[in-house]
Amino acid sequence: MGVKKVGYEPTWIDKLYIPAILKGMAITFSHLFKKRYTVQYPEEKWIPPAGHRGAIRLNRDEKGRVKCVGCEMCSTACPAKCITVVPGVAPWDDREKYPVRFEIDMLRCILCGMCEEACPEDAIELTVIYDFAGYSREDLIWDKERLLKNFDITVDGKYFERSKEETGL
Amino acid sequence: MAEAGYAFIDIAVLLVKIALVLGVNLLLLALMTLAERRVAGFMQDRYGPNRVGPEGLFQPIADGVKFLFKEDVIPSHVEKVLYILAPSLVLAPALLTFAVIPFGGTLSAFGREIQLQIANLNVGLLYIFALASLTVYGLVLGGWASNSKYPLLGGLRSSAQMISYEISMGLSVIGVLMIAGSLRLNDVVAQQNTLLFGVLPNWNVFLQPLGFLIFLIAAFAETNRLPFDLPEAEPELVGGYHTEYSSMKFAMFFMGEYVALITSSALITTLYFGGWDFPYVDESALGVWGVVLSVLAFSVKTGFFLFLYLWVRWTLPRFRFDQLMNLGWKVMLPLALLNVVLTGIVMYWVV
Amino acid sequence: MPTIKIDGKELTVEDGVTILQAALENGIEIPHYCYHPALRVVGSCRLCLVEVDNSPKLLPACATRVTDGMEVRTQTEQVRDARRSILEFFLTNHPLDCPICDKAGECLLQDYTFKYGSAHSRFIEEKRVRPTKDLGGNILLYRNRCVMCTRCVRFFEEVVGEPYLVVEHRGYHSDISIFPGKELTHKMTGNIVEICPVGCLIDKDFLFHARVWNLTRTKSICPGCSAGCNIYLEHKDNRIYRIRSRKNMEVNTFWICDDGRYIYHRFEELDRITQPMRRLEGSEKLTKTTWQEAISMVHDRLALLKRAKKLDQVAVVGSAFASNEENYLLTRIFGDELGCKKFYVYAPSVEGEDETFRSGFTIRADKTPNRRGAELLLGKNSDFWGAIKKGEIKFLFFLGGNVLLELTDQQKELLKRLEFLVVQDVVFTEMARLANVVLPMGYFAESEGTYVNVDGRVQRFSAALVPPGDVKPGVQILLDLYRAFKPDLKMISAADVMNDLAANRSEFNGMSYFSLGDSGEKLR
Repeated sequence: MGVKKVGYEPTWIDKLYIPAILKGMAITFSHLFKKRYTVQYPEEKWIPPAGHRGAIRLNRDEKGRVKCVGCEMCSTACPAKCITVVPGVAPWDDREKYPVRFEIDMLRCILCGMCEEACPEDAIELTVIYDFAGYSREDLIWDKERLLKNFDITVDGKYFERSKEETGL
Repeated sequence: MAEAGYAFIDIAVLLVKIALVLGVNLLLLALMTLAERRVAGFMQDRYGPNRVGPEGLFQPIADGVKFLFKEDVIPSHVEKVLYILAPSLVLAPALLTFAVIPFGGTLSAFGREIQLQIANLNVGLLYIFALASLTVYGLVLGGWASNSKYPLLGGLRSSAQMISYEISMGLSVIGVLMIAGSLRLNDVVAQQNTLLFGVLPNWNVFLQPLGFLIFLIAAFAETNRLPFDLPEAEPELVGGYHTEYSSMKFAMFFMGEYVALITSSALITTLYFGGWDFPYVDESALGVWGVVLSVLAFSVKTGFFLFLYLWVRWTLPRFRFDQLMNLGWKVMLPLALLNVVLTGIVMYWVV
Repeated sequence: MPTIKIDGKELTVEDGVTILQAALENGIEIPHYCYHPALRVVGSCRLCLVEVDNSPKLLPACATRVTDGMEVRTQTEQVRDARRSILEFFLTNHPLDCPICDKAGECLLQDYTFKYGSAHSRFIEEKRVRPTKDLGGNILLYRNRCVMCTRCVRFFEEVVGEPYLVVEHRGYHSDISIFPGKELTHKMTGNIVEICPVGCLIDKDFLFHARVWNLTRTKSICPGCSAGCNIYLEHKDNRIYRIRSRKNMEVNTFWICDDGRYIYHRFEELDRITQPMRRLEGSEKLTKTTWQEAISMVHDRLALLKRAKKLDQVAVVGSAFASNEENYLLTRIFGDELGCKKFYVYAPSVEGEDETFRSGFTIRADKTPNRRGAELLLGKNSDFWGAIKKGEIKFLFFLGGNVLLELTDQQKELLKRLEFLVVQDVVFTEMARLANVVLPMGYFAESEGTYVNVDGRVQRFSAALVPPGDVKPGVQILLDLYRAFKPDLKMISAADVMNDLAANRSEFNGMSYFSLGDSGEKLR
């Protein structure tokens, strides 16, 4: 078996490397004047594409109540075991079960969206919110109210137009 | 009385010059740390640090404050005296080198001629080489005193690299010396302050293109800049000789590197690009404005080389160590010798 | 002994059993709803249809007795078809509210549909909707979910012997209903929730409290009475959510009474002792202390009495609420190690009568779980009050366990005559408040051990919960005390104590935790 040589033999000019270096420098120099891809974050916000899996929200039903029926499918499906649901008898006539407590530990959450897929009521959804932070661990264990607020600030698709005070994030 | 007054003015002028050079150097150094990152950003279609102050101008101040307030950790396993000495051994020679570089024409004030140069040594060039060689002590000692493997490897590499390239550097400059016939840098600048064939400025870069190229490459190696930053080589040596350093000591290594950058840019300008010479203009005829023009010319030229350093850094990848040695000994050294011989032959026929 | 073949597997079974029984006994699954081993066969769900020999039609496995040489096929296309169709019928009106149904996860309709049913519904009509009915007591009837297996109806007729429920109307209009004027407050009611194959009968006590797959099951013994019913403690996050019966044909068969089913509420929100307590000399109040301190206080006192040769003033009260291991350790420490002679058993007197139902299931009047074991180990003397009155006792070690313990004023007065009282108990009973040293122990769900039930069956229970605070299981406390006297003690667990017990007491000879297994062993 012979060895087949492929590719090219560099000429003596190539071996000087100086033309190649100059070419490279020309390229980098040209980039000085090209469009910058940086998003100037706090002033400018990156709008995630459709289907982005950001922070979780709890949807409201047509009467503004939490849509969740407390079936714990999400917490069962959750691979990070970050969802805690304490179900109870609903205080409303037309609904039987509802979550008394609904907590998501966003420190543990891996934003995989399994809860959204598991939910039989489309009550839990992932939103476009990617910029959430907290000053303590407790800040990032989101309760039902916080999760419902996430619904209120994202349901009209205007999350990125809202102020920090309005979103509370 | 009058003589004492004269001496006093002389000393005052000297002190002002020293303060000026030192101040400008340190300011430029601070700007360089910013420029480095911003140029890197631009070349990579980013912005770089632009948050602290307008266009990030105060970023160096923030960095400086940060360095000052960082805990100064001295690991228990180090050679304490050398460990503490090493950073200053890097910074000091780099700053001292600037003493002999003329950064402008001659100013007439207080009834005397004031040369814009701290020390007009007749062995200026030798002085520069001597001090440049000293820098390597800082690096080697830093690496050795750290008493751990990566810094030691970094120190070894830097000594090997610097010695290898210093030879080619020294040889390449011989061409310039032969043309100028003096080691005094003022003479070198003055020699270039004419026209070549009445068209081109009589800069050594045109007379010594090969020498210039060798000097430039060697300068990159001497200042440990990419593509020759093997002593640091973050991916391989975790920072090389300064791995064990923190806080202001680390900052001093850093500053030393950038001051060396500034000095070598100034030196390249002086040796090959006519120094403070503004081509086609006779500065001495313009009085004070001529001096201003000369300083400006010097600054622009030096600035260009500073930019070149950054430009090259963000273009070329790092050499492998064997490639570095190959280039140094098998390519640069013979070429430098050839340059000396060629210059000699040409000088013999022409002069 | 006929020999039959099910799916090509040759089986020799007892005479007169049905195909379904033969199959279940041999680990062959045939889906079924209406069949329950403790109830009469009605053959109404038609889910257990199988192919038999050359029978032209499929036969219900639950209602067909085996004959010699019979050949049964449970996996043919015809059988699968039949199951699929029957499940489709069940699902025509069954709501798909599994997410809010407490049965989900242990629902036979869910499991069978998943395994044998069709993935898609062809039913496009409106489902029949019937309102949920409260049957009284703890039972809710979700009528939409019912599959008319009539297990609950038959349970009351055959097991309890007192009919409560009935099937109203016929065919499509069939509906489970309660006899007029009656409420499901019977003590055996909880069982119908367990035997309901779907989520039709739901316990209000557990309603929406947890999903069943999140619960951990721990095998235990009901401490409610001396019957010693086998139970599962189902718990999550160190809290019991419900108790279910555990099959033991020798004791409780399939059932438990509601007293036992909800017994865990008795232990919730108690005034638990969470730390060892001691009374400083002459002080009115108990102060918190460490285990080391508490144990050495008891030890030092006993050592003092021993040196003064006053051990005849020491009395030990074991408990019918405590395990055999705890009671046995008392005899080891105070009897074998110190040489005390005065052993008593604390066991409240039996009031009322045993309640026996039609199937023979009995709720005992004796509300202690281990009277028999305690008396076997410590003797039948329970009159320590009399002895205190006579002034024969100055030092009393009282092992409690009855969270409902109450003292009369006279008894409290008597306790004040003691020089030193050690109480090992779960809650701050009036007794514990008067003690010099209080040793907090875990209740039955927090400890392990064995009980002897009224029939002399030794049965094992395991710990499901972690005790609060510094509380330790009773056996561990007594082992610590034992170790204070005997530093080279080898025993470290309840199982070790059980082995020691089996070696030293003839009634327990040859028993061990392992041999007791899930269903226990009779005393020798």
